[in-house]
Amino acid sequence: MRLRCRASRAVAAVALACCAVLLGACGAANREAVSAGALQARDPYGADLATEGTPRRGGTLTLGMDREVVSFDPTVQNSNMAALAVYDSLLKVDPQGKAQPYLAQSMDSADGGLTWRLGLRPGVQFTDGTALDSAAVLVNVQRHIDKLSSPAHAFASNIASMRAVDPLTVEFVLKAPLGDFPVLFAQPITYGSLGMIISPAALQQYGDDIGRHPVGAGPFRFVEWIPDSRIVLARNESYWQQGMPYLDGLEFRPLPDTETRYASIENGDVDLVFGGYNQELVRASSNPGLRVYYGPGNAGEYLYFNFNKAPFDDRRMREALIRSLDLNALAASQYSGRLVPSTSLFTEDSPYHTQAASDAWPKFDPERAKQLIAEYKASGGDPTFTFKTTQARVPFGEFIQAQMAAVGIDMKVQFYDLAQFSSAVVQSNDFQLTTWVGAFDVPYPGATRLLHTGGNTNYGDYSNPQVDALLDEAARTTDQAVRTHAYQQVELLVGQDLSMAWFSRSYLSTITRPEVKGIDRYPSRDMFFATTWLDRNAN
Amino acid sequence: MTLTTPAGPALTPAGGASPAPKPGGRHRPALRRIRKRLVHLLIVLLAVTFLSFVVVDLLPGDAAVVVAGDNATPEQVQQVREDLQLDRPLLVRYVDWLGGVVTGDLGSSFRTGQPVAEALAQRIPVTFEITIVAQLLALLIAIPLAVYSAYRPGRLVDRASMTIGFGAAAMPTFVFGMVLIVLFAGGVSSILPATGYVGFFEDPLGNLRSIILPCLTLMIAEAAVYRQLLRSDMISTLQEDFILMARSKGLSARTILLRHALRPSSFSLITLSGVNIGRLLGGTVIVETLFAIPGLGQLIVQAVFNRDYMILQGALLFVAVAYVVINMLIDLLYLALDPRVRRDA
Repeated sequence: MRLRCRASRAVAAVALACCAVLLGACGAANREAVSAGALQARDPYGADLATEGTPRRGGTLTLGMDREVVSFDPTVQNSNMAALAVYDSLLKVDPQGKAQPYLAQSMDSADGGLTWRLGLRPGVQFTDGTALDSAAVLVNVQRHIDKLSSPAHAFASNIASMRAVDPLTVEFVLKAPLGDFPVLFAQPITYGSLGMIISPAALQQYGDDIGRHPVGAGPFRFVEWIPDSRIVLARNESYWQQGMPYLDGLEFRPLPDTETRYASIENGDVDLVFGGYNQELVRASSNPGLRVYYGPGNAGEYLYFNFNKAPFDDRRMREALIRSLDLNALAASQYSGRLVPSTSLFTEDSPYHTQAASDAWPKFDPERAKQLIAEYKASGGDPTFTFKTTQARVPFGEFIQAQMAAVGIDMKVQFYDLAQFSSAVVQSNDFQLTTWVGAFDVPYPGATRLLHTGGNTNYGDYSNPQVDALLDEAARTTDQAVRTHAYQQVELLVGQDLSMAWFSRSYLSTITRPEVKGIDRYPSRDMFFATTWLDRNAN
Repeated sequence: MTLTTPAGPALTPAGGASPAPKPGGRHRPALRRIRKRLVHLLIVLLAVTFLSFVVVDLLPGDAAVVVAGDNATPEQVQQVREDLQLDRPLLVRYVDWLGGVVTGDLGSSFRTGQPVAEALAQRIPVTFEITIVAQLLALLIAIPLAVYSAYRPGRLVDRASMTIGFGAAAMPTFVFGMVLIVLFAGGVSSILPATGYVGFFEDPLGNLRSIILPCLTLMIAEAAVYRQLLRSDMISTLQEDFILMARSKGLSARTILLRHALRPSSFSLITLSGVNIGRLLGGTVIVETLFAIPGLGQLIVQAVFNRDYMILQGALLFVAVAYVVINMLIDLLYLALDPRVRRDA
């Protein structure tokens, strides 16, 4: 007996000590962070290459991904951080949001966006030695047209006909003018891209298995892929940009756990990680031994209202919900005090954003929320509802529940695993209120998908004919001033309609060791790897 | 001591009936056990695979939706469903899958298109290595501590090992893993990698470095339980008459503990470690995710989340086979350890 007592006392002491240390650490982290305010954008499009010195050749860069790659096939929907290393992209979006020539030499329309001519660079070869010519582009675009499940199928459907004018020129005739057509050749693989070109010879050889044996004309060639372990790429010796890439190779590793992913970049197991969450971005930002690349992006984290179901088919209830969310409390409890608040469709530094849209957005005001709810009740409505979200967002669900209780609404929360959430909740439109994370770099096609009637990420079935017309006009025009005006109107209108409840920007980041230079990226994290170099002596 | 002749025809390990049973062979009980287990195995496998097929099918959430992705339109999802042949009835798909298995074709992943057999071949050695090393470490730590604790119960070694053991065992795996990462991979010191599994045949030393933390994480709770189990079995063995006799013969404590008492005390330990190996082969999920190790556990969990039925079925098939085979081996180990089992068989 004596022995037991002593032992358990000792165990209790050890346990207490551990708890104290853990709590202390958490507390300290929180206090420090709360005072720091919202996270700021840092080099969202990558480093200023000119100021980083003369690139050194050699070295292998090890990159940690927050999720495993599904496929290298651009007709398969997935997020693949290695795809651009293998394929490059025909065009590339610049920080102003315009698609510029990259692997291709030009993309022009002489008739206001109906007919487009894509000019290819002479002498570009795939890593299997075959030529990247008009025929190769035709084969690849045709795959997106033929394959209904391709994420770029809808984009390719704009094309009425296409032909090779000569070996280095492809002509696309569209069904209707589309001024933003070039953007479709510059998108990250996740959103669907027509600009990632696979060697037709390899397509012939591997068929549907091309996703595991990619052959492209990018800066690196595919060596091996051991799922959940690593993807190994080696320098493409006949790369089209002279003297590049600087690195000998890339090794991508899936590191799904946020804590160990951060530990791995902190202690140098990897040179770069693709961050997905607020926690790692907050910690990396305050670590002088790491470099952070981050842009808040458009849209971000938001709540979908279902416009087909009560109570949020009523604008008063949408406003009441937004007014009852205390973002400061949310930031303190779940974002280490560093939530990047969102009050509009487009991010503040976007040319499509206006201050008027942010000013018009409802502010936290529980008293006004209670009034609105009372009005809604008086008109015969029932304000109770169920909030559906994923199992990863339990604290968030509980937060919303508490905020609703404070304004007198008894809200239920239901949690789903991701597969179930996608199919049973979002895709089947079976919700009243739900969460989403979806940032996009350029307004077309992102905003169209999100807000156009029938748009494929417009899960709440929001519909406003005026918004539809403006979105169509913005995508159609080749006049940048017209486009800017149209998107500014869209932002104002969806803000007035409260189409979604914006609350936070997204936290997709790239975190590197200080010796990683020449970062060239999209705010969506997708990287171009030709210019990346390692400033260290090791081979 | 003569062995009783078993009734009925005995099977050779290859499965064919031996025409003339040799009387009184020392390996006969072993064969009989193996044969019984093989029949057992078949039944277990059919049950497990069918049940998992049904359960996975009943899971809400649709493989086609996952494969098509969040941006997909309903038409795209329908197309994927047809491509994956998910529109066929459950029984048809099961029989089809079973037919494939019998002919050695486990199918391929819904998501990546990787053949299931290839995926398993990549994962099994990794999980196997970690499981075995962790088990060996646990036994290596637990047995000496248990023997000494049983020899001197209530003394410092006994109390200290119990306290530390239960303290560690009471901690959730991921917390203990995080503590190890803070201690050895960043934070306090940075002498081991937090992630980045290296294959044994590429770089044995790198392999060792990369599995130390995962194995320690897995090992600690097991070692605590093993120590406790062996200690109490050992204490009761030490009160048996034959130990008293050995003592009175003047044998050294070392000889009594290791040669006389350990073997008869180790049955529960062996049973438990067998069960544990089976369990760990299919389920080191937390450790594998934490340390980004490309093992079977991650494969299974990802397959569940992504409703990748083909991968899931193949992996469960392997786990079921492994379970039964390991239990069979443990069974045979009893024969080697205890002559009484041989006689009773």
